Amino acid sequence: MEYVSFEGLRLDGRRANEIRRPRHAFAIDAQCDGSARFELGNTVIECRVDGPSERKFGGAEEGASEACALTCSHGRSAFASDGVQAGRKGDGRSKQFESVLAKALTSAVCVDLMPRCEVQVRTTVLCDDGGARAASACAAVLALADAGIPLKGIIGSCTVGHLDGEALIDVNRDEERGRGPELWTCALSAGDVPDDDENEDDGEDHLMGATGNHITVIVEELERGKTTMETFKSMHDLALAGCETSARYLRISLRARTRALAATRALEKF
Amino acid sequence: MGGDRAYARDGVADDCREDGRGRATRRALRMAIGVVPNANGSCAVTLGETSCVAAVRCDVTAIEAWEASDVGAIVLRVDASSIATTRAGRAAAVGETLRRRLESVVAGRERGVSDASGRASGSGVDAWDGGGIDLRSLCVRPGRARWTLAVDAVCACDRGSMLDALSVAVRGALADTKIPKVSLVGVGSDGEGGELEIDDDPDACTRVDVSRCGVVATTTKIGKHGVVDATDEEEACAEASMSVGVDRDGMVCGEFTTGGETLDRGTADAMRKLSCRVGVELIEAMDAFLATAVAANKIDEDEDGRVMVVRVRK
Repeated sequence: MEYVSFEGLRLDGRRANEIRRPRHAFAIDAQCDGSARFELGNTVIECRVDGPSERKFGGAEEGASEACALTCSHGRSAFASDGVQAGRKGDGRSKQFESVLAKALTSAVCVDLMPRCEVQVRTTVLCDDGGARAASACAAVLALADAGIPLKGIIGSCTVGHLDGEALIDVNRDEERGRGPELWTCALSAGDVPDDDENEDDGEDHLMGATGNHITVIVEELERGKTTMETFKSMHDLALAGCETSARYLRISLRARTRALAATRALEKF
Repeated sequence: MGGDRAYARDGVADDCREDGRGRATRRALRMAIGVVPNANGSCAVTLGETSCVAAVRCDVTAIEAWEASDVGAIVLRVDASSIATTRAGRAAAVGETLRRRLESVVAGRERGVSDASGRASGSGVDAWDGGGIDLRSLCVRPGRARWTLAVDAVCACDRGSMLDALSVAVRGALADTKIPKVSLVGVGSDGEGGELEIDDDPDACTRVDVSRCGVVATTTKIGKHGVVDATDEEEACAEASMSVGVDRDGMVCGEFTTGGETLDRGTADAMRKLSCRVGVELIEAMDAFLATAVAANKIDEDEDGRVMVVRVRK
């Protein structure tokens, strides 16, 4: 099956370096401290955050640190993908994803500010069209911000695949089935985005420009390994650039949300 | 808790509840169909702050020898894992209760719907009296193949009246369901063999007829009066509640009572009447929305921002 055509177009018409359209919504669930929905094309993920709450110390935890503990729970809804899904309790892959996501988010949350607390992050895949892990990480960041948990920086996340000799960013479900190597990356960038009121009309640079973001932490997972060094290098470069773009989108959406909240509380004239 | 109960009771007696509604006023209902792109039909419902999503997937399955030969099947599942952390009871028990109650509303009177393991529950299928979904319309070929609609409902946030919101979501999802046109071709003379042929045209699909499918309207008794669409705080102060499944003509397709207090006949009648009235209003509002929404083509208005370009910096 041909995943990249001769002109460089993929199955859905994108080029190798194009991410699907992201959409987000905040505060979708009134019961939780923070919640967000993140969509990447047809992939829809919801995330709910509860915390910070008191941590129950079970047993003798001599070596446990005083800082905040972050637990992730990942589930798929019954209609997430084709075929019948059993329910929330996942398989080994889901557990592995939970622990990697917890590691990534812990690096972004200011854990020292919340000693002896725990934060629970629950992500649910509502509809899976590829890239569910990256979208879950982005949804988790938005939900943590919605819950008011202090963050050191924004985590951007993306998935890169490699098919037909090219590194492809943001693989969808058909491309995932192509069984090529797949790299899922979360990168914490602590840079700041300049005030973008003047740049609204300049579409591309608005999202990507040279901002000097410093990437401080990278968490990666490579599946179906046995790739050569060159393949990995091209995938890795594309992944880092994709994470920056994704983090930039998240930052802009958080800024817009803050502005909207400030306007409703009459803190800022609009 | 005594002060809260007295406050709720007094408010209800004065026809002014905690959020200013009257006894027979429900919260604002928001519906959206087509929210799950993967599924054949889907609907997201927000009733006040209670929200849930239902999605329907269609599959062609073979008709087993012991099953009725000319009907399709509907399998209903409710996932209550998001809300069960705050309610009493495990997620599985809460989900199962909701599912059983929804079943009777979807299936109509005297008609069984098969549960998750595929066994038909309830009395024989010959007793279908016109309520619920007409399962005979889901048959592809008598004796050989039929459509199985797998309806999955996920409870997202429970602020009272979860069952009502679920029933609206399930009905909306079924109304939105597009069943592809299939036919069984090449069947040999002995009735065996044959292949399924699917019509490629995305517009060539049949819709599920939900005109006889009902919704649930719950009336909760607080003090001497019944209120409609209780919030979770009102539910906690209530003595009893009655959930009535009502279809478009005001006919009752199922009734469940919960709560500690037994209802005397006069109160029960009054609550049932109120539920039926509210249920019929709800169905009318839903049908008005569905008539326009289902017919309209989904046009993507945001054509510009379809992709984001990523540039790798050397």
